Amino acid sequence: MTSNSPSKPPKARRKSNSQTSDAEALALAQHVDSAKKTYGRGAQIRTKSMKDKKLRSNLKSLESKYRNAALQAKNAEILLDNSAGLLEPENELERTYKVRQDEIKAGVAIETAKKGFELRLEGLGPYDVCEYTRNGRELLIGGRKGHVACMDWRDGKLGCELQLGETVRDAKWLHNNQSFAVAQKKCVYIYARDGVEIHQLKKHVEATHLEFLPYHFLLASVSTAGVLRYTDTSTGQMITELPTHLGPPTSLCQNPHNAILHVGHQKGTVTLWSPNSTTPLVKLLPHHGQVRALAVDRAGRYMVSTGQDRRMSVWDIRMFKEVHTHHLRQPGSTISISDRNLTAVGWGTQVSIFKPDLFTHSPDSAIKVLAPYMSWGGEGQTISKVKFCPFEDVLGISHTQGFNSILVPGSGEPNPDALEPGTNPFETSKQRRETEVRAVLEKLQPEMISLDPNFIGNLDLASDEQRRREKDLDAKKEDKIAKLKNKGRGRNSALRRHLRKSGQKNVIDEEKVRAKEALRAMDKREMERVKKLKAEYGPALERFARKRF
Amino acid sequence: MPPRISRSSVLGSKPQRSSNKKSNKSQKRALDAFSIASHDQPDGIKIRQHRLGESDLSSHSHRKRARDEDEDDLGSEEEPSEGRRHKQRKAEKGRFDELDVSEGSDSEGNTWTMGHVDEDDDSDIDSDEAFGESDEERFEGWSFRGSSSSNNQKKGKIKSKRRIEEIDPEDDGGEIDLNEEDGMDGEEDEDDFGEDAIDLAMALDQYEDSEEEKSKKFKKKSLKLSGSDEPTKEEDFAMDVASDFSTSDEEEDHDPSKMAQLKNLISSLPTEEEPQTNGPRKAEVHESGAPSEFGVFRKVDLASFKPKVTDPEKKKSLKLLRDDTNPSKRNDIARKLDAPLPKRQQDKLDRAIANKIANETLGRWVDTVKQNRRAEHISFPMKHPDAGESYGESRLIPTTTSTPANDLESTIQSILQQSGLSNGKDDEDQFQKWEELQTNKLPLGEVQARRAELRKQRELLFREEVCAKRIKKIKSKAYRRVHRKERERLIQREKDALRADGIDVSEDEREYNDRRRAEERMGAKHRESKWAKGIKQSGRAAWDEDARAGVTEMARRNEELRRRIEGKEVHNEDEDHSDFSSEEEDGGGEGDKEAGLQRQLSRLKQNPFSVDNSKLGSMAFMQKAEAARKARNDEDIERMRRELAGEETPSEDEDENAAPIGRRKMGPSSKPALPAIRPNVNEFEERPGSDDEAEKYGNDADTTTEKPVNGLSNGAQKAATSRRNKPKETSSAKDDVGVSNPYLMKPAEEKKSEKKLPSLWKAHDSIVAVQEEPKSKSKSKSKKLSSDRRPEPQISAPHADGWQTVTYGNDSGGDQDGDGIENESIDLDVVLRNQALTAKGFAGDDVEADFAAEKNAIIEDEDDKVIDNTLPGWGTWVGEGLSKRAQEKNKGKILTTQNGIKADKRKDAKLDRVIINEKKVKKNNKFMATSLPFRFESREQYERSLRLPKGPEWTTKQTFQDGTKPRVLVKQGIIRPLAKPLV
Repeated sequence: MTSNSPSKPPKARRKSNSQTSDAEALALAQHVDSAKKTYGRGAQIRTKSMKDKKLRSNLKSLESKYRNAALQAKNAEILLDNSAGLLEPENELERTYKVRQDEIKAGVAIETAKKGFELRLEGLGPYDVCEYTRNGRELLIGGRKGHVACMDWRDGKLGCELQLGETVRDAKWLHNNQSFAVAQKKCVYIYARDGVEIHQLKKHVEATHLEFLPYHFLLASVSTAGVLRYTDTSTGQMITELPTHLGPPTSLCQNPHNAILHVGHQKGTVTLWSPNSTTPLVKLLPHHGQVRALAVDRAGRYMVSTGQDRRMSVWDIRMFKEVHTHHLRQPGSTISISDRNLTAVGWGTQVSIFKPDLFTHSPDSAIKVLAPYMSWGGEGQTISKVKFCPFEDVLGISHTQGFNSILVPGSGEPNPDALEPGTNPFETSKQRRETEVRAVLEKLQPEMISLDPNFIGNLDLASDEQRRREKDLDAKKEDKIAKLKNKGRGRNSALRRHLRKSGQKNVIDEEKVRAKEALRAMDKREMERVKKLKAEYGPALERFARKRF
Repeated sequence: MPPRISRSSVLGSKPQRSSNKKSNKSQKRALDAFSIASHDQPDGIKIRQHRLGESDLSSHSHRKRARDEDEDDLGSEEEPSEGRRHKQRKAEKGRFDELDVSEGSDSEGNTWTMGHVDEDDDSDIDSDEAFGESDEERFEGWSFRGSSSSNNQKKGKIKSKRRIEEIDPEDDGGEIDLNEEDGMDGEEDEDDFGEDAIDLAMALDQYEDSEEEKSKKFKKKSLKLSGSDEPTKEEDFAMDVASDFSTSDEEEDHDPSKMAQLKNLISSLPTEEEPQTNGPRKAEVHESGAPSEFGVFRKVDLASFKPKVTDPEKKKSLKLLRDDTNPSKRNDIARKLDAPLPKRQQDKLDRAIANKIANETLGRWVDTVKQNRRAEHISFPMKHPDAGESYGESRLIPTTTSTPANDLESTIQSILQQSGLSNGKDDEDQFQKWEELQTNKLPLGEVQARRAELRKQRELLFREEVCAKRIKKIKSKAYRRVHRKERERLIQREKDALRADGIDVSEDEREYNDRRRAEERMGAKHRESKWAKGIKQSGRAAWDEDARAGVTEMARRNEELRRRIEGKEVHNEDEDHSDFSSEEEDGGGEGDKEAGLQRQLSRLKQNPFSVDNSKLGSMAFMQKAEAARKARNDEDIERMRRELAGEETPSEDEDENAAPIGRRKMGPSSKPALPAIRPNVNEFEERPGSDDEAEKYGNDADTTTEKPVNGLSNGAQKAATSRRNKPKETSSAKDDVGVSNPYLMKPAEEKKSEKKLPSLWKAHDSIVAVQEEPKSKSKSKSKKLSSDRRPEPQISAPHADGWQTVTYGNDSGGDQDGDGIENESIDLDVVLRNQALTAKGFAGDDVEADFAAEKNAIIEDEDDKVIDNTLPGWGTWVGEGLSKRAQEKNKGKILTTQNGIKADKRKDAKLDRVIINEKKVKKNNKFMATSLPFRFESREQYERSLRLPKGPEWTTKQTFQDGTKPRVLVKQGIIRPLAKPLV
């Protein structure tokens, strides 16, 4: 209303009048808010207080771009046509962890049911390794006694099956399904998909755990001596060797968000490493005994660890605060966190799968121990490794007697991103080749690994004092002349060339003097040589003794 | 364009007198030049030197054409504009004829040629012409105040003209003189500039400037032009005494526009000074100037004729004319011409003006250029924003505005027009133009005010209607009752019918139905209705009585429904509370509801919007309509009020009757009723948890549990506190030993509790203690507790394989799950033993202590350091044989502190069990900016600008494409320079 009438309209009336528009505005605001929350990139900058007009207008347009980007991303959610969901009890008395695999299989489609299977591999030892490729198509299992096999697990096509006859400690797929690394007794080997040995990484001595950073093409291993090594698999170069000084490691995992490696140690500590620093970036103490297993969620927010002290502790690794901790009945030997933040913990012969509320569970709440979402096992097979399959509602469990694939509804990300290199579950071989090239071209440098992955381009806040301190003032300047002296002789020797090119002839400084001296010495030596030769050749042949330059 | 002498400068005496000498001089010079020129040029060849001059040939041909036009003219009288123009030409012709005749020699034997300005060629436009053809079409129906084309002025003007012409023949000298001046005008006016005459360029400027204000300045303009050197036709008529009678006479009779112009001019001339200048001037005119060789240098004006005219009528007209010659105070009327500026100065002035004009024209482009420079993206070829989309491309255009495209359309159009259904687009155009014109005249503020007014009127009109609608909606109690009765009757009839058919709807079934309905209403649908949500969100219940009443009502109903669900009979109100019960109707708050109604009514009555003092509102018919509507509304309100009042007493009676039966007890205030109900509650009923209730029960339970285990709890507490007081060295491994059941540990809360609510948390502790008790005891206790406790299914979540779930306040596991409790009881023991074992196993390694020591070492290492820079032997003795004291003394003379990271500034200062490395990672510096880039004022701004990734993996396609779009896009097509400014 424009008129400023002294008497106001009745409230109800005004309400009814503006209700629709209000509701609309509210809905719109909510939409924008939720977009900002999920897709926004940090707090807005206040543009009003800026003095520089151009900057102000630039940043204003930038802010509007951010807003639009967030809104568009939100609107593009329509394209995520698959929705995630979990098992839900029909009444209060029903428990989802009581649901058995056969019940699930009976309830789902045939093709889905097929994804749950069992590989009985008795006598080949405990299977310590089960790994899926990043797109979830292929599976790699390895037994401690040297049996390694890779397969397209959905089609049941065997890629290769190797009997290495050597202890296999760990194995990892590299950037795609074409090659994998196996940590054997002495060193790490890289095999092609068909089982052909491609490389032997001799420097990775006695690796106990392997980890591959797909965006950096870095293969990391930690050895029994506690040395963390990084190798660039695209170039084959060893990047760094970082001794942890904390004894034999007990576990290793990577933070997929920032490519930091978490290493668990004997004394209950977890250290965070990047290849750029010889000391750990952070050191945590979640446990008392050795840290048996570690896992970090996809967004890099939470770390779950289990220790020999039978604790399972959840840490917020942005703040480095423990969210909560509780006891398991047996020490958890392996952890895996799915794309939808379901956490599978293998302890003893059992596997428990927790819902994402494990991460948000407050230690102050009444419930001390969360009920698991699902559970499996208890049949005498000691669980040695659990791993969620990307983009599938499947959990791979390797144990003493082989491998089991179980269905865990709601664990997989339902909407794969085909643009992300390496994560397209439906990729053809041509696409695979193309993405491989692209991924190599877009490879991140190992120097880009940091706790905050967004640091690139940020302002270096080191003070001038600090920078000066860091600069090594005592370092000797390199002696140019000395270098030139040994470089070459002849008419166009480096020394002559330097003298010729070094500018004005009439300026005489120390360097030049030294250069001339060196040249003279060189000449003198040459003359002496000639003299010696002449004497040697005798009077008849002395004319053949010549200066070489 | 060379300046020309104004012919209107038939000079008055006053200015002449004031600057007599000067003007004479200049005149003389001019004439000299003229004489030289005329000597140089043989008389016979009379070729015009002036650029506007015409050769005789051309003038002849012109004349011929003029004659043709004369003939045409008779026929084409009906078109006003055309005709007028013809007449203008004719007038010129007439003069030309005369001039041609008069060229040659005058009485003194001087030869001269008459120059004149071709009206058509001249760029300067007379006021009526300025009002161009297009304008004429546009403003056909409109006349301007200053306009000369109005027909009603015609006659008077003709008269006056006649008089002048009658005077003319009497004076030869005047004629000659004027003609002479005309000639001079044409030939050698380069250097003649009137004293107040305006440079033509200036005049042009002014003209351009004032184009918009044309209508306003019309009068002035005509004056100015007449004052300037332009031989306009008015002046021709007014002063060219030599204009001939024969040709122009008859025609001028028919020339309305010219007459109007003349009259206009005359009326605009000043009259006051006339009497003063009257007498002396006539003598001076003739005497002051010395006769030159031509004898024509003097300016002879009409005023000099005056004394010779005896006829009073003629005198009168002459007087009118003479006014023109009066030196006007207004400087835009030229009086006397100054000597022209030297060429250089003149050029300078011209340049300055030209520059100004050029700047102005360039200035129009500034905005466009700025816009394009600032634009994020430019795409070539550029499109003019107005030309972006052809009209009617996206929308249908009304047929009236479009011109018929083909035959069919045109015929249809014509038929429509003939039948009077449509005037084509003229109608609309005219209307639009009219509006435009009106609004143009108005100031902006007024237009806005008007618009606001209009809006207000509309709003007010709408409001009464809304009010009426609302009144209609409010239904009385009687109305409801009647309807309910009717419905009941219907149901009864139905039931009877069923009974007649042999089907008996049992009481149970009815009960069942009722219950189901209640359940339905209990559901989310009701509680999460829009209204309820709105109330909750806005917090309106706090201040709005209506809303509050509604909320309490809802709560009450909730309660009642819950009871129903629980299977409790709601006393004898079942019939009353049929499922119909709408928000207004329902039971208990009858009084409230009535009050609400009354309130609403009163609010309606004093409708503030019926007060209408606007213009539209004050119009008779509006007032009438509103009064009528208001009367109707008031009547309605009154009726409803009456109804309410009328029904009130019986209803009250009813209520009183009903109250003891138990209806009133359902309200939220009926607290004592609750415990009575509780024992009846069916344990296995599903029940939506009402939080406050649960809390209450929980508290009850707590209080009940507290007493018996008080001693125990205290013990536990003591243990806990003592533990806390222990030094740091006792690691948490020992911790585990101390608290035998880590499941039941709650360190954070314990701390809190002791600060805040000790009594409350004591209770919790006590429960912990209870569970630390041997199994049998705890079990029995919990069972005992659970017997008089309601189940709380949401809170606890027991594990499949006997995971223990502990909830404070109530132990629900047992209630939920029979086997669960058994498992628990078995497990608890095992678990406890396990815990103890584990704790024992790790008791030896002081992991935490080690960690703390390490952290301290690092903190110390990275903290500020004091370095002793004392040089031994500097100013003191050094070496062997120095006493210890002296050695000590010599130390620490020069101390420097090296800044490090202080312990409280560390990132891990508040985090135990965490060590964060504070060293900078040098390798990362490679990818960091060393200094803040230009233009950014702070780090936040700069880093903010980097936050949006460009790549297609992180953003949508559109964002990606927008982000990577080049600044300049060149599309196919011809890139032309901009034709006109875009903005």
